[in-house]
Amino acid sequence: MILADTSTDISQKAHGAGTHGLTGTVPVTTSATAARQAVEVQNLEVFYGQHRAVHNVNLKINHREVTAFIGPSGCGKSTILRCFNRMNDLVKHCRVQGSVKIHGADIYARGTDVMELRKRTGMVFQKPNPFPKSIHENVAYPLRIHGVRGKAVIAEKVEKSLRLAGLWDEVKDRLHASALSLSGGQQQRLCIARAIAVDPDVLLMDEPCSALDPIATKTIESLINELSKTITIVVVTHNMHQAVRVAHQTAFFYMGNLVETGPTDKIFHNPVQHQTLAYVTGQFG
Amino acid sequence: MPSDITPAPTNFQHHEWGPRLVSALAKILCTAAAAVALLLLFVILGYMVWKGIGGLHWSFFTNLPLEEPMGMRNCIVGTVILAAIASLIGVPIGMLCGIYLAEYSPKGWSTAVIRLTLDVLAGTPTILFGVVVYQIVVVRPQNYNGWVGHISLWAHRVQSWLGITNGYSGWAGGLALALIMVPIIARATEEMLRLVPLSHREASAGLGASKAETLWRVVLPTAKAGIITGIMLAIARVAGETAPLFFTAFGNDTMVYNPNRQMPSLTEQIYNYSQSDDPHWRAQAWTASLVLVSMVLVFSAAVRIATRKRRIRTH
Repeated sequence: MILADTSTDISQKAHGAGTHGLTGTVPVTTSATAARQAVEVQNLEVFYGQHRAVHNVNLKINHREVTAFIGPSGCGKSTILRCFNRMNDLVKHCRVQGSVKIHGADIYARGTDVMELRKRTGMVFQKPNPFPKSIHENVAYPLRIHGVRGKAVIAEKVEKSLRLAGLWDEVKDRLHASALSLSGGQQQRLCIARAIAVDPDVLLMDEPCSALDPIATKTIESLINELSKTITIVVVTHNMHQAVRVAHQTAFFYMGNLVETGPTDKIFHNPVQHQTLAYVTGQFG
Repeated sequence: MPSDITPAPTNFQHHEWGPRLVSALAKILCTAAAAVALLLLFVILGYMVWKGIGGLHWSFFTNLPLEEPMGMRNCIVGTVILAAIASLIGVPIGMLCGIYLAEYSPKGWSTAVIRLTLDVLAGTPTILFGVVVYQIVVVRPQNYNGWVGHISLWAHRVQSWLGITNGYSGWAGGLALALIMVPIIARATEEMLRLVPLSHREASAGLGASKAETLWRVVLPTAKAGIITGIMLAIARVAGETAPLFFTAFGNDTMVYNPNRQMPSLTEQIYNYSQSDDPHWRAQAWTASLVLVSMVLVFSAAVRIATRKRRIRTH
């Protein structure tokens, strides 16, 4: 479970009965025992030059659950997500303080192998971004760069990933066609297949459906549900209904602060903070 | 308060002549300029074909200048060898330089200076490159004073280590042409790499690829077509260079394959023959021009066909 503050387990105060019209289809985690944490964030601060984009965030993300990050634009949710695989390293003048542990290992410690970290934490971006290569080569790419050799081995892994991403039946007859010939939703599922090809522990999704139509969105959402059985998923979303549909846990961010976190049902139906209530009921956005 | 005053009916029949006149004029001027440019190009090419096609004979490709009937086999081979040497030196240096500028250089004044220098070099009269190579590679300096002398000294050490002789040679000609190619290829490569969207680089980095892997497997393949176009332009450009070769390759009336010797080229032969009083020689110069232009055209087309993207299957 997620804790906004490590000293208070707010989820223990959680009790159902929603009144705001949003009903979750995802069951709240049943086990109240200390679930294994996939990601543990402590005192995280992120600066862009002099501007502090993230203020002292403490957060725990459960193993093999879906966690949604919600909040208005510019609240820092994507920035935090990009700390989990150190994509912020690529941004000039971006500075990160505090610690982020993935399965216990501090990823900002000296000597961290960032390539290996990014292999362990796949990322799916807002806009589908397949390479201008064939469908097969897109999924084979991470395998190749991580040293997988042999045509048969790669072909087998590509098929497995495409099956997991629910794309295999649609593309099995044209694996060598350009990935750019696919529809937007198919391209995004291809990107998911590419991200899970090297069996990551954590999948980071940065508004994965914001460029997709409702039908493609629905497909991706059920894929997220399916994948969360084996992979920890963190999904940043602008769409509150999506958080309700896919996430076990939800974290609400506002102006670079983590306002509240807990089981999705509680965040949407019985939040502790008035800011959370105002946001989930659409009073601002 | 709801208003019951209806707006005055808009008169869509009212014509403003000013804007219409300006846009009509702009269209006419642009079209006319394009027509003039195309016309000039076709006049030049047409004149060349008309003057040159008469001399187009098998003997032109099989005979040497001093044989009867005259031919330019040695010049055709020489031009190919010179362009090949220039490409061998200029393409890797130019591409690496472009990659440095687009991917590795710090954003700041130093990069701006490099870019400006390259742009200036790309516009420098090419005879200068001939003179520089002449000074450093061709002539054996009598003394090694000053910094030019030091460069000369080291150039000669490298030269003798590589087994390249002093004096006019194919190597010197190729080097001069390579210097012309570098800024063109560097800037073309840089521009093409900058066009590759950030999302490709992010996707690759997000999968755990290093910068070099991303560059080699994603960025360069994406920019490939544009970079190849830039290289082709550079090769076409140096294949038509004359002045720098006078100081470096110098020319030869015999068949030469060894770049350590003076090297003939089509452009130089065109220059020499076009100055002649003999109408037969001047006709040969026109034929040589036609052959040179055709060679560049065929080469460009061949490279394009060989490297073009395989057609995307959509089903």
